[in-house]
Amino acid sequence: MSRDATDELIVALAQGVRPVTPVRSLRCQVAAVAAVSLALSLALVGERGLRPPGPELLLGPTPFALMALGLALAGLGAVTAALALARPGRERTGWSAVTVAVLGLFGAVGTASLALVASPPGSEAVWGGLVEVPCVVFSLILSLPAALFVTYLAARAAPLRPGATAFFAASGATALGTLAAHLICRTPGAWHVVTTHAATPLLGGLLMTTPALRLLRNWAWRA
Amino acid sequence: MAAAQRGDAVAYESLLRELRPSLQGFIRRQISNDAAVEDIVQTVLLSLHRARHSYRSEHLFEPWLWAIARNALTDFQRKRSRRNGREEPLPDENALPDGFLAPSSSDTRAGRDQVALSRDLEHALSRLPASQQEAVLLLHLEGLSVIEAAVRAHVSPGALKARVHRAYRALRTLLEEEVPS
Repeated sequence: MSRDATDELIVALAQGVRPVTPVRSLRCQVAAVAAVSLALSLALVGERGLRPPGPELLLGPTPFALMALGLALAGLGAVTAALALARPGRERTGWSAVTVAVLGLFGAVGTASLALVASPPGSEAVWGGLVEVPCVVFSLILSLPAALFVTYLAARAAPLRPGATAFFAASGATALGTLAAHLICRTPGAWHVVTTHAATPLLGGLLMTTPALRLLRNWAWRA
Repeated sequence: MAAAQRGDAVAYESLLRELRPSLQGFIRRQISNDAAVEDIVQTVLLSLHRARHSYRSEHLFEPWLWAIARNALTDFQRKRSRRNGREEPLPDENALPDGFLAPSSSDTRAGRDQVALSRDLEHALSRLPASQQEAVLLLHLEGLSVIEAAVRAHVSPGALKARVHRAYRALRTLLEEEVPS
């Protein structure tokens, strides 16, 4: 196209410009997603009760509490990354959030594993096999509201990297869904809460990125 | 930009005009082709227009703008390398026989020789099977790429290249018979 065509394009864009509402701040959107996930987690805990033996699991640096913290960091970090990468110029915030998410999750896994290794043997006896499946499926189901919400918010911004945005939206939402499942999980075995609950966000990222990407493109097109 | 978000057409046009030289300079540092530079500038302007709601006035404008520009440039380069990767140059053995193109020299004797050779070539070409003729004509007279020519001939690029290769071999043989020198 020629230089004149660029001039014509500028005139056409300016003539067609309509008022638009700027997207909400990143902090506000992350807070909204966190509120939805927290409400879901509290509702579940209220309905089914905390993982036995109960609140004492959250007192002190137990593997359960460490994993809850790790999942919260991973979830909020990945959600922040997805929403930041959907805004031009906020990539640095996005990649910093990814770092927080990764360090949070793997830091929690590492610390919890060390605590378990130091504890008396026997806690890993029932870990592995089909016993993990219902927990993973339940976590994935619980992540759907947050996944849809984050994808919608990202699509309403301007996702220049839709693949990365969809992956972080999917894995962040799965981490938040897993956090809700983690709090009420009845699957026995201390290693279960460390390994399966840590792996589920990654699995969710792998499984849900493609649907999230399709939704993102579909909603972004309509936005 | 904040004025443009409120729908101020004059401010928006003035902003876009002001941005244009910076965008051209930024893109020209990566791409030397002027037409491609203008294409990318237009893509950036369109992306900027579509994404204008994603700018928030409490943040700097430049990182927002350059993120859009970088993205458009990366997209362009990715598409170009993908296109180049799909199109393979024909091997040297498939190079056009000498004198295939019409004579361009003003030298009379050389020009006459070239015309004679072109007639020989035309004659040799007419003796090829229709599918091979078509392949040569699409690639060298119409100047299409292998992919475009393959689409036009309703064959795969590999089949088209095979036809061209066979055509060149046949042409070489026919021309050597007709022009022994």
